[in-house]
Amino acid sequence: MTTPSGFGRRASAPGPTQAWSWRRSEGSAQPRPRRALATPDPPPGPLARWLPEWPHSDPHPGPSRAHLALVVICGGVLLICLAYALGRRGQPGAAALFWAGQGAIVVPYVVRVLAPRTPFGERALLLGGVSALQSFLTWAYSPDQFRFPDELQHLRTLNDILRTDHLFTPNSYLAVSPGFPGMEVATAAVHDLTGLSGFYAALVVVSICHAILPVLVLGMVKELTGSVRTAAVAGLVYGTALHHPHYNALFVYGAVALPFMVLAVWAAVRYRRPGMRVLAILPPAVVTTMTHHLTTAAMVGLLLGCVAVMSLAQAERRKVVTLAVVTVAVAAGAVGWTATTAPDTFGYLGGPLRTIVAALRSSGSGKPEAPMSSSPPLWESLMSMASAGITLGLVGLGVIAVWRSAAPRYVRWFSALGGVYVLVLAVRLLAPGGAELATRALSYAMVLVALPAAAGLVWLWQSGTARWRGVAAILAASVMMAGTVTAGLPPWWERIPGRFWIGGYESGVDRAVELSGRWAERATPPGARAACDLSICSVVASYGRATVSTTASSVYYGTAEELPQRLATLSLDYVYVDDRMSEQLPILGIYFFRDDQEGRHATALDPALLTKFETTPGMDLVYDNGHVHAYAAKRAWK
Amino acid sequence: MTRFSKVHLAVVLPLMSGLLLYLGAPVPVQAAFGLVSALLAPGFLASVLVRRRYPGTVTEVALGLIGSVGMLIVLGVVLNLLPWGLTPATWSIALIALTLVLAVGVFRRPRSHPETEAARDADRPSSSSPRERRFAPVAAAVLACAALLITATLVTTSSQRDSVQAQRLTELSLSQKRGIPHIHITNAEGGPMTYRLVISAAGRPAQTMEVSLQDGEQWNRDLKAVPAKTARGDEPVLSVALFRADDRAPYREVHLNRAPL
Repeated sequence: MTTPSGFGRRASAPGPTQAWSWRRSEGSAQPRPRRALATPDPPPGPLARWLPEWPHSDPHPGPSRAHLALVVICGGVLLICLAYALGRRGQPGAAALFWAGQGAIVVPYVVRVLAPRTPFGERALLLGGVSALQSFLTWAYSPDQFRFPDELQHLRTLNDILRTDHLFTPNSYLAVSPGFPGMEVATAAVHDLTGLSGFYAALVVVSICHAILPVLVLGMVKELTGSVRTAAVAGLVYGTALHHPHYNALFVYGAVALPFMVLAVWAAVRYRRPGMRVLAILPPAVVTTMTHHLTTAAMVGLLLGCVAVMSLAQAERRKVVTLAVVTVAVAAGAVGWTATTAPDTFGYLGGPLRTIVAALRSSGSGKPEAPMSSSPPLWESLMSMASAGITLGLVGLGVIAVWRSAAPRYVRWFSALGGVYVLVLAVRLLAPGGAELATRALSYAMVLVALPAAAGLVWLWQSGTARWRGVAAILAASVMMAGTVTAGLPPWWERIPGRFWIGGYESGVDRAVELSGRWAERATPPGARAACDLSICSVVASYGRATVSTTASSVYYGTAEELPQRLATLSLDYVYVDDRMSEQLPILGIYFFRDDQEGRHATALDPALLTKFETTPGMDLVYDNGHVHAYAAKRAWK
Repeated sequence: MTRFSKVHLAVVLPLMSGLLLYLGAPVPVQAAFGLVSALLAPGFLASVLVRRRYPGTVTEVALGLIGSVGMLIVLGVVLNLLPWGLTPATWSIALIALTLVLAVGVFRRPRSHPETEAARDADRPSSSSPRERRFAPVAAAVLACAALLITATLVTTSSQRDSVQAQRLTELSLSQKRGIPHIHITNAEGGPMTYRLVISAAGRPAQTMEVSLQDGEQWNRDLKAVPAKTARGDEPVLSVALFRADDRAPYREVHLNRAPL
């Protein structure tokens, strides 16, 4: 595979710094002199004196402290695992231990990555190491099986591949998943070649992709800026994308596609240099296309951004045209692949897109999401807001700092693309369901945001008095990282595993729910139509290969007299009932997909709504594990 | 290890992995060889092939890993076009073939010839003294990290096992296969259990039996003695109630063909 490179280069090799001297003379007769770190040029005016300027050159590296930092970080990981253990045993003190562990991870990580004289190898090791440990913590959160609904959707595709030895078996739980089988194919390969179970093979594949991702961001930004320090800080900033620490370490196709997207953008960025081949974009673009639709769309958008930046930077016209042609070819290939293997994708992606556009056009009339049964603690909300505010501020600072520095036009315009963060925040605030959309979008937008935010952080460290110059930057980066915990997944109510929450994400899959899925696997025919709550649906659709109804909430809310008609309308074969629906409010505001009572639950369900299945003629109770009951419903309506 | 020998190793490992797979080696051995040969070797060889020089350590690892994952994905899509599909045998053969092709490319490409690099490695001044001085603290840190992560693993697995075992339950299910009712019981109570099973057909007790199961043990039985049809020609109402030891109330209950109330 042709892959761009940027790190591991020896001093004698032609590097970005030399490319800069070539670029710096563009558009002006005299190249601007490089400014030293400690002695910036005197500012020309009173306003300019207060404006930031990015110090793009790195001081001579000092000794590595990676081993010490990693010991402290591993100590933090142990504390979090102890917190999880306390949570599972229902003992107090888990939250305090969790945050102590987070502190032990974040502080040495941020300090060493931000520090001016940290050597390159240590920075790369810390970026990759902390990301790998995030994968470890994701495993520690659910160490025996997949529990997150999205993971269970992909587990079904993986099991279909392992069962049939072929791709593209239809998956009614996530219809678009078989059409983008990259992650499952790599997992099947590891499973077949190593003898590991599907669960552990998946962990290996996803952990590799997750660990590599910030290192690739480092390589891409180093290619742009030539500064190892800024590049490493950009990798750190990328790690503050809200989905990065947990969701993108799960068995979800975006997690595997993301590093290939960054590789493709890196190749596009590298193409601006003389002698570089544009075809280097294609291998990672092909893999991205085979792996995840949304990441592919984002990749095409980022490549178009590179074309625009090249054009604005007045690069060689031939190169701009060539890159544009390759981008169009990538887009056409992606459309062709999608139309061939997963035509449902267009409709699948169209829904959220239409929602965003409608909300933005109606200028803020977007309704809030379904209210949750409980809100996060105030300090967590403040931390999340502070994190977003600091990132926004750093992007602004960084764009100004880069534009005032001696950076080439290409780098300046690329940093300006970081302004996309404002758009993401707008979606967050204005669109219905904006929180989820913005969180997902950040995984892609942070590729652009990373450079200016990193430049802002580096400037922050360099400015001010000697005593405080690092403290502000460390604090800012630490708050950003804390914000990924408070605003990202798992949500605050299931951050510590152990308690069962009806309709929760991982916390909704306890042993009773899991065993109902295993029963469906061995006792019900594939494709059987089922009505169930969110958690049970995720296991019966994954293990049992059931076709779960997404409009079945009326079956539960309706009266006993209406039941046969409702069952007939939905052609249901099985109805699953978790009696805890009559004990707990749904933590996400809904018990079912497209819940008719969304956001209106003030009390748990009336037990009579659940016991009516017992008394309805023709309903056969065929499974009982204490909490979960399964009824064969066909006789009641057929 | 010189880069020259790394290239040879990257060629040999998939062959050994394929052989171990063929011989049915234990999973830990197979996993160790399989992981390196599937997730490092192809990407490493590809990065050596397309670059003018051998990559540095960070690049070597990063491109080796991500390149390998990418090639496995493309390889899988290609294997899907073949009638055999994605089986351990086809994966192994395809991986060996891919590695050999890449290796031939590496050895044939003049600028990346391993001997040149080997000679360059040999000419490089030795830096053994500083490395030796740093070895002790780094080794100690590696051991400390390993100890911390192993402890974290043990804490996690033991707490999860305890948590799962604390959720005690018994499964009872009733199904019909080719018209014959079938009962299934699973004991997941965390210890041995004795149940009393009462089977009723058309409202009359038809059979009572005692079932003792160890934790995790399953019990399956076809109910062939139950009448297939009632006097009216309907399928009979079949109820199964499971009682714990001396309990009077049913612990689990399932039923089939219940008449309208």
